[in-house]
Amino acid sequence: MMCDECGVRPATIHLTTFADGEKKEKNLCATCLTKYKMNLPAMDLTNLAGILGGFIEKALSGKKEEDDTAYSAVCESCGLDYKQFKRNGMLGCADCYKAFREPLEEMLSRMHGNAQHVGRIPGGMNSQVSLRLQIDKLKQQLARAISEEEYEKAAVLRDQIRNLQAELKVKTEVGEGSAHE
Amino acid sequence: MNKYPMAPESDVVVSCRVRLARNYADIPFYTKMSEENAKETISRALKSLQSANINGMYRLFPMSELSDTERRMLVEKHLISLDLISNKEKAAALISTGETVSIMINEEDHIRIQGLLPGLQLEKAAQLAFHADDILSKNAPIAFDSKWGYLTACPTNAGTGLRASALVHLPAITVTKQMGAVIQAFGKIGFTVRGLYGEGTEAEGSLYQLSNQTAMGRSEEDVIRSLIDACQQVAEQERAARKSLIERDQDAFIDKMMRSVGILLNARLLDEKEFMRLMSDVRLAAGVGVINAPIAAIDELIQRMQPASLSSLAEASLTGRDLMLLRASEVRSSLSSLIKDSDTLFSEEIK
Ligand SMILES: [Zn+2]
Ligand SMILES: [Zn+2]
Repeated sequence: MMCDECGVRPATIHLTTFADGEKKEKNLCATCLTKYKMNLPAMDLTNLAGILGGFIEKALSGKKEEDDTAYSAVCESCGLDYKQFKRNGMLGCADCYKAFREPLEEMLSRMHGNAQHVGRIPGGMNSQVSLRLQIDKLKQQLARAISEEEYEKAAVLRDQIRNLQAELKVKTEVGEGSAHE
Repeated sequence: MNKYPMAPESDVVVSCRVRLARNYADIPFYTKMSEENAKETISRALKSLQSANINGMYRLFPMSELSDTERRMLVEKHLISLDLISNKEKAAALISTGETVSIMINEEDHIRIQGLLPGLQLEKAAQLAFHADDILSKNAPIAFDSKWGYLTACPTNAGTGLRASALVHLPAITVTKQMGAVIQAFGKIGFTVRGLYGEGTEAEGSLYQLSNQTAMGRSEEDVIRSLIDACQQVAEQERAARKSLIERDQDAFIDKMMRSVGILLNARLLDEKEFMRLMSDVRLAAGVGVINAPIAAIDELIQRMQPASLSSLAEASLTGRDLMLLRASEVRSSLSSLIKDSDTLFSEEIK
């Protein structure tokens, strides 16, 4: 997605503002956000659902600028310069994550707190997640069936849940554990 | 027999979507990608489908081989993004026959899988997307880091690479000025709300897109489950607001709905904005039973009346006045047949 203001750089933040009870939304790049903020001194930044989070706030206060000029690195695999990444927000290849590990670590922790992936891993996790979601849904239906005294329906649902739980158990034991721990 | 099956919660939730971003570890991302690389990602994806023997269920759309109208029509159907079109020299899409799964290749990421269904069926949409993900990532070197999860071209998507979203129709919440509160409540639990049509102030047609803001630190099921809960809550809130509008002044409520129906049944020139605004009333009227028309048919009509879809119907690239003329005439005939046998038009009982 391109920046709504300049249309040249990719948008890195999604800005929502309220003025007179009216909601306004814009997708901006860091450069235009700075300009935008100067033009609208009264703008409420509390709703700034910044994709880059605190990254931008620091950029606005000018502090981050210094830190960044100090940092320089080039990804050997794709040739991307860290400064280029800073300009357009896009990495050149998977190895960029290694080449720029340090600043990315900082940025991702600022966005997410402790930046640690939780969830699926590649290579045949075989939809453990969707199995769990299915089980969840059936459990909701079961509770409803019981509260509505539809016991036959409840029995069918209970069997379905049991089958899915067995399937899930097999999958977990085959070593398709989730990525975190 | 029913041409328009009723999707869950469809009086409020129009459609839902689960998107997964994936990249091959050994191929540069989009900004550094050569033409050879671009061909390689497309052929890898095709090969994965072939080896799972499901390639027959998908159709390949190389963006460069489609007309502008054909490309924009896919966007109007939410099957591809505008970004995929701007990458048209290198990009392609694989779309399942039922149009419930779309795999965008060489968008911002090498692969973007989408499961897309009407109403609130996020579990099923997730199942569709995960199934395709399992197939595409089997024996393929997918860019992944044990700490940062799936690695994406823009680091903001790294983690699960998941975006779960729902398109919701909130006319009563909008008119009772509760939208600000809804946006804040969603923000607190990590979801963004944005208007679908029109920019800035009010979403044209009271259609809003809800989606998760970040992709790291929360599992897929956690995000999807909380979006389901949030959608159910906002649907309840919308229904309560509809009820209170009707209770406040039933005659005025029905009057407003039926005036919109009247304009749509008689207009000769309809621009997109006005059309969306009036159809929002029609959708609301059907949702509360003021008129007897299947909501799925109304949603289909809305989609068919978008510019590219109309151009495709006319087999010519229409603009401006021509679009307005054709839209008005199509709406007159489609809507009158939709609500022709409507026996609840002036029903006493409104749910
Ligand atoms: Zn900009
Ligand atoms: Zn690189």
